[in-house]
Amino acid sequence: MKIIVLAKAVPEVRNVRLALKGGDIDRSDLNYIINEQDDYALEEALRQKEKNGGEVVVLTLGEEAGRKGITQMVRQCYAKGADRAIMALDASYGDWDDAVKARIASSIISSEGADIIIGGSQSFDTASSRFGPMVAELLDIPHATLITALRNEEGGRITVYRDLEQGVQEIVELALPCLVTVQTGINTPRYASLNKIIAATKKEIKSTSLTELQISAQQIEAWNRVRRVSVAFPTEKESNTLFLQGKPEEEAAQLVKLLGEKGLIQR
Amino acid sequence: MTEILVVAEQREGVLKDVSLENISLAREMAGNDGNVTVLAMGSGIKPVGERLSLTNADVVLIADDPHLKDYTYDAYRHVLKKVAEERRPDVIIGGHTSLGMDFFPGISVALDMGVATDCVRAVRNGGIVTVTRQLYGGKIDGEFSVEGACIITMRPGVCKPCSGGSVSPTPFAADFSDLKNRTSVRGYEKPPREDVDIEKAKIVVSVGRGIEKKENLPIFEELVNSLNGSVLAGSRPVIDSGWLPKGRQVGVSGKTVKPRLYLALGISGAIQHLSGMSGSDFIVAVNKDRDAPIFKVANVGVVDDIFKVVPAIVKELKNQAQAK
Ligand SMILES: Cc1cc2nc3c(=O)[nH]c(=O)nc-3n(C[C@H](O)[C@H](O)[C@H](O)COP(=O)(O)OP(=O)(O)OC[C@H]3O[C@@H](n4cnc5c(N)ncnc54)[C@H](O)[C@@H]3O)c2cc1C
Repeated sequence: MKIIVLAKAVPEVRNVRLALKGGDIDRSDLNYIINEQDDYALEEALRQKEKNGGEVVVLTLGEEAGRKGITQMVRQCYAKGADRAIMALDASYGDWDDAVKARIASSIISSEGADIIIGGSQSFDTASSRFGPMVAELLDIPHATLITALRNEEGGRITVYRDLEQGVQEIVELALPCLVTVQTGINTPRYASLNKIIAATKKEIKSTSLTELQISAQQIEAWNRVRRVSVAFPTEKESNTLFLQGKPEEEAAQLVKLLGEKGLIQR
Repeated sequence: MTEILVVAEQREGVLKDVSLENISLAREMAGNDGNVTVLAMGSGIKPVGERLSLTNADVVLIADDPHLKDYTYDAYRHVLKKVAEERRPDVIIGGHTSLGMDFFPGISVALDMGVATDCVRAVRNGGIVTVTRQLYGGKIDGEFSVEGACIITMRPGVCKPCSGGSVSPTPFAADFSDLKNRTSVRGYEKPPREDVDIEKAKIVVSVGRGIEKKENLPIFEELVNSLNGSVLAGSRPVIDSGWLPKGRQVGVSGKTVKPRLYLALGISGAIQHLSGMSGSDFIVAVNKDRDAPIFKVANVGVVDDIFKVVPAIVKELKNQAQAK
């Protein structure tokens, strides 16, 4: 079983004050981490390999400026058990529509070949959930998104559970090769030990480029249909939020008083 | 003439609200002389056609066929491709739902149209569609322009439902003889019944990833114990990690709650969470991150550490109880 994992390094913005720069957020001081759903995707791939044998290959696309963080993410994947990794970084990545990224990825995947391609159901930064199913359509293979369980069946088929609204699960069967995108909670991702991360620094990461893939600037231009015009902080129209001030005890006292006065809690 | 095609969504013969919202957006985009077509797919979906006939769309196409009983990518693609060939839409509008997430990105490639998903706003001016999307978990708004004929999916609840009207549904007969379906739906599983019904509680104490580990739950259970009529719930990561059962999950893939008081503790306020609780009467959020999107829906915000504030609240409640 050969499995390709689509993994993306995303800037960690939780508990961080963001700044804007040149039509985008300023990423220069941000740390990169593996996109949450992709971590679950990697875990699912590793479990498949442990059960059925085979190989896990990580494929990541990203911006040249993020090379350091992306390399670290790949090493984490190695430390967890990935066998190989392919990285395609480009200075223009930040301006690309997913349609461009999906075409680059599918070009790499079609020369690699795989039984299952596993990605995350969405990435934290752009949250558009487009990449996986686009890759599947380009490769002309079936797909299932938002999966919360994956079971191998006889005769090169798998059964997956898809997360619908209100906790309903849809049970879908599909034939290999196929692409699935995972939802959080499908498994419990393992941790990478520090020793293994250190050992992984020696492991080679294969790099590829648009030139090597014979993708031209004109092609990119033609595929790039959705373009970012600007970014901004959300306007605080509902800024009637009352922010309590003071030490925790003071905040707690004000809150309990306020909720009591409003009759929201019994006193 | 501008042609806008809305792909309506139904489950078990019930039309989803986002479909009506998208018809109103389509009307705006079509302008005075443009045409709004709605396509609904399913099997035995007469009620859907009836509901759509009462809208201000111009054309309602109903593809009613056993092949469309469940959503499958291949069968839906098969139909939409045919409809798109016939009607040549300038814009196709769908909902950003589980179905929409599975369907539209792939079909955009198949139809060679650009696609922008989970839009919170969309306008069409001079033939160019401009959309607003939320980035970085709602911390940033991004504006995007989409070139040429395109597909957009709208976040449920952001547009007003369309006005009434009268239009007679037209059956759309798609020939399925050349369809090779590569996926098949084996069934559905409803979530199991739970011990407590968080939808009925007056007060919901909801914990997020900020609680860090299961061992910290007692701190928050103590708050529940000192608040009459309250239950403990959580965001998806808390349920994914197995710290609370599935029935306690608030959000789009969990439950929708509208209590009198909702306490969000260590929850960032991702849209999938907000859609399950923003209808609460009164919302209190405690989060270390001043920029966490949860504060945008909160009536009262506390920018502080839950591990300090929550025990202090418990203490304060106890003091008050004693003082009585
Ligand atoms: C299709 C789909 C469906 C989904 N369905 C749901 C759903 O039904 N429900 C749901 O909740 N999510 C759902 N999600 C996930 C959602 O996108 C978010 O990932 C999730 O809501 C984040 O949960 P959180 O706020 O607890 O965690 P985080 O986003 O990690 O936020 C944790 C917050 O805690 C704060 N914090 C940390 N430590 C402390 C401390 N000591 N004191 C105070 N604050 C602290 C941080 O500042 C941060 O803001 C869904 C996602 C997808 C793609």
